[in-house]
Amino acid sequence: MAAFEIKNREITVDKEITEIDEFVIKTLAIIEKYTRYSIIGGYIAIFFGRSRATEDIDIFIKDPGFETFGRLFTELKRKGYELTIDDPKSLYHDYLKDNLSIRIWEKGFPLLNLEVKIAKSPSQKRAIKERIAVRIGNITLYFGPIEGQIAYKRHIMKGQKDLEDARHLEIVFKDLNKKRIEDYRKVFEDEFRR
Amino acid sequence: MNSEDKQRMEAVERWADYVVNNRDWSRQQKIFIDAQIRNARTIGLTRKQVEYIREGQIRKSR
Repeated sequence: MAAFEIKNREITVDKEITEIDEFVIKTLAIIEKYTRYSIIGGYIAIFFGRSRATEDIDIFIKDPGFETFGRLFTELKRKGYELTIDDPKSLYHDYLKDNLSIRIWEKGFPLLNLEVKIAKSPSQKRAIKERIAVRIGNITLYFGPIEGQIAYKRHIMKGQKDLEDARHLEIVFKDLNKKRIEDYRKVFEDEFRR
Repeated sequence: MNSEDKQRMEAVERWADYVVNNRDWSRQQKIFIDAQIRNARTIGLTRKQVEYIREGQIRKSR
């Protein structure tokens, strides 16, 4: 028995929505109008039951181009969000295109934020290409492959929290592909050696 | 892994087993997470204070 099972890169989850989930759902509903995204990092383990909170929700996005990013920026500002700096041109060219992340949060609560990076490396692009659709009621969120997360946390990050996240995912997911975890490990190690 | 980390990992595994075997896991998780977020909202940290905390966390993890 396992709590979650992915079939054809899709999974339906029956869970109560936390305040972190609410922020993620609301913010990503805006972002997905402009580009493809994939949630990565610790929030994946938390979404699937890990008993800890987080302040940063990490996502990779497909490069939307400056013009589209400008429209995304305008909508986020109109809806009460704040970003790392208040200049869309610099956010795009000096941060995102320079491989730096930008942060997005609701005005007045900077603690909880979405950390956004353009996917550039093969593993980052793969996180978007092979993302899984997670359905909660009529909402869909997109997450990077679980095997990739386990490999990254266990073999690259290796902190106690990361090892715990990896172990949690390994227990709650049914039929995880061990060969795929190993495959991801090689890709990550190869990227980090460079 | 030292004994403290080992104990933590055992607690993580116990909870993961609970998630697998009990339907009310998300109700319990919601109580736990929402309480932390509400506390954080009540404290009302500024962006500068958040950055200071974050830098401290990064230093600690190195």
